[in-house]
Amino acid sequence: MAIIDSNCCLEKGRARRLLSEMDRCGVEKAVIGPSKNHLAVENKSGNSYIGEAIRKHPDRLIGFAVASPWYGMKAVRELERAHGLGLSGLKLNPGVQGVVLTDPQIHPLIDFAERAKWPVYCSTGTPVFSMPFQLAELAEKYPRVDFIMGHGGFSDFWYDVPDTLRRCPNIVLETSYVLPTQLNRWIEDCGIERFVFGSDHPFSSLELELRKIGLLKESIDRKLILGRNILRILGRSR
Amino acid sequence: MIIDCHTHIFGRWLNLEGIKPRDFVRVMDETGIDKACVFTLEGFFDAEGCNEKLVELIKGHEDRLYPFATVDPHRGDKAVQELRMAVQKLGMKGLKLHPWLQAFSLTNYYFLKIAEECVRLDIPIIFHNGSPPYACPTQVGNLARKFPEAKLILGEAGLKDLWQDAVAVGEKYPNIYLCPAASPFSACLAMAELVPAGQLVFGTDLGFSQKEEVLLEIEKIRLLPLAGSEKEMIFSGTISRLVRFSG
Repeated sequence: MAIIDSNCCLEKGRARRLLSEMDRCGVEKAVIGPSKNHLAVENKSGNSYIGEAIRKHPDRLIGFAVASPWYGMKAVRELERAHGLGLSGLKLNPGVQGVVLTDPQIHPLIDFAERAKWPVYCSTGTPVFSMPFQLAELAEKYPRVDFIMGHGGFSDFWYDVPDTLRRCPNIVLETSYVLPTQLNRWIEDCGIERFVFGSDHPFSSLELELRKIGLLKESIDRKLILGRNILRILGRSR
Repeated sequence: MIIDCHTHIFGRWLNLEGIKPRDFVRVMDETGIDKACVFTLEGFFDAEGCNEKLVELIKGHEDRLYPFATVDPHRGDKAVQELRMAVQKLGMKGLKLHPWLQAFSLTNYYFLKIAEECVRLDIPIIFHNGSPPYACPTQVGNLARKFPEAKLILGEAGLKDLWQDAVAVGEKYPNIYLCPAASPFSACLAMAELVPAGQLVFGTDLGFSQKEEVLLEIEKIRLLPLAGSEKEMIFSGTISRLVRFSG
């Protein structure tokens, strides 16, 4: 069974470290995006090193691009450049990028994602910037775009998650940080197809996040959550 | 020895069913937990009688389970009396507060009376922590500044988004203790590096969480690059200095 990590953050110069961690944990592929300053402001440099990593390891790494919504049309041009480098999705982190998820400033980026058939990963759980229902507003505005709800609203927005998934068939939940007993309940309520494994490496531990999936109820189909669901979304988009 | 300083035992609250004390102790056995500080859950919504109920629930397990009281700070002087009663008559070992669910600010004057009483009674206060607007690490830091004698435990050390605040107040105030329950592993690494083991405690939120989470929390501490003696401090040494487990 091929394990795919739907959410890793790659710091500049750390691709080898990530690959050895993936090898140690038996992870075949990982979706990577720029981290920290490269996520917030130095997007061009961030997208470039992600492009380089996927060029060197095309069978292991899948690259998502970032662009601060505050750059306006410059951000869209940067996403076009990243597209040319082979990146194949958009990552948003409203808390780090300093933009509220309902701010129309984000729309040109989502318009681009829709044109490019890119999925959009968005970290959630950080008030006031990125809560599940804020993502639901965006997902309802863009019903043809696939959204990945990063961290499932962790820490405090667990009440809002099931309604978000029910409202928006174009949202799947990425599992980093979410507690296993919580995941068990949501999977039962919303269906296993709506969940993708992610570690948020290096901020969480890939090893512990995988062990968590192992602790889920035995009846849960690991193949779907650990790989097939994200492949379905990536395949639809590219 | 492993002491879990953050657990909940309750009967039933709305659609949530608590773990029965016998099963609770069995999970402790299966995961290697020797003792646990136990708190209410329903008491955060309605504190009336919750301390008596908790003490009654854990009867027969007093050698493993150590109950903490909860009061509703909005009840003013009555809450202070209830706290005194819980500690002196019921033998409860500390105070658990959930400022987010209980909807009060740590700067409110009626809460400050409770903090004063905890200092007089020489018991620790453990706070739910990491959830704005009422349960942020720097708010506990501000309290630590007002009450340098108080023993203040962050029941979650800032969770996913505020763990840097938790590390900052842990470094600054020696009377703040961090319990990294549900913290990202990278945050645990930073805590281990920057906050003395004498200010770190172990907790799992069992009762709200389940056996699976307990296993993960134990593993997180075991994986930290610390000396065996420091891990022992986190697992049991630090909390043993804060809570009077005997007597």
